[in-house]
Amino acid sequence: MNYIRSLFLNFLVVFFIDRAGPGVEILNYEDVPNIGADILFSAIVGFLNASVFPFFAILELKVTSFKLGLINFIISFGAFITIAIIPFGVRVVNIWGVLIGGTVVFATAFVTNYLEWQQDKSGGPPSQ
Amino acid sequence: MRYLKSLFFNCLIVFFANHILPGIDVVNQTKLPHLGGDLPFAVVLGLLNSAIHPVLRLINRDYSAVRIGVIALILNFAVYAILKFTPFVGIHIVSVEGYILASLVVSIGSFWTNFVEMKHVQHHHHSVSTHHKSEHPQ
Repeated sequence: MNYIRSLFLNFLVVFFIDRAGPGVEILNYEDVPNIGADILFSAIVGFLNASVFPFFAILELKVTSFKLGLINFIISFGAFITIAIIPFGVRVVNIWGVLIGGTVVFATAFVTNYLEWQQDKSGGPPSQ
Repeated sequence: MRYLKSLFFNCLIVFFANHILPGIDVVNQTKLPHLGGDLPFAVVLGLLNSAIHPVLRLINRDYSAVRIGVIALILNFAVYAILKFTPFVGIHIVSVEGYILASLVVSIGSFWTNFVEMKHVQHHHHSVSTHHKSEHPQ
């Protein structure tokens, strides 16, 4: 899975959770060309989550699945805890927002980074 | 696994397009555990879009990127046209702009995922045939 695909997938999952996840509220629903807070939040969290493995690769650090999982876990749950404390157009209104939102976003981020790592190890097909 | 990724991606693209593009209103919105009309619609259209490459492969070996693109365009323009006449789904197309934009965005996402799948299959066939030739030289 290449970086662009991983970025898109992580972005779309955060967007989906913002809109459909329980315990998450959006204060202003915006349509393109107006960019709402949910798109901004999804883009930031999606970018951070998708960049974990590339970051390791650029710095030539040793990658383990535990390290990938831990950083994705901190980013995903950290993001939802942050909007529970400081709402900026998207807010978490109950514990389910953090638990379900964090878990789904973390699982997707971990799978995408893990697949990127495995592909990098095997020198897999360029378009995958 | 590849098919699942494609399916997941296509569903999310449809969901995203319906929620964010101008000219399309989601009147019956999903907020889990409440299931609105947008999520089932995204799953159905995502299923159809992710099935383009597998179906083409099943019925015809000579498929190309152009054929995948044309089928994706026809499928999505047709489904959004049907959606216009089925208001009970919970998604309203309020302008031509919304109809064209949504169909195009979903078609691009569908083409991309199917194209990546096609490339992967071709790469796999190429490596298998190279391996076979090296094992049995003429």
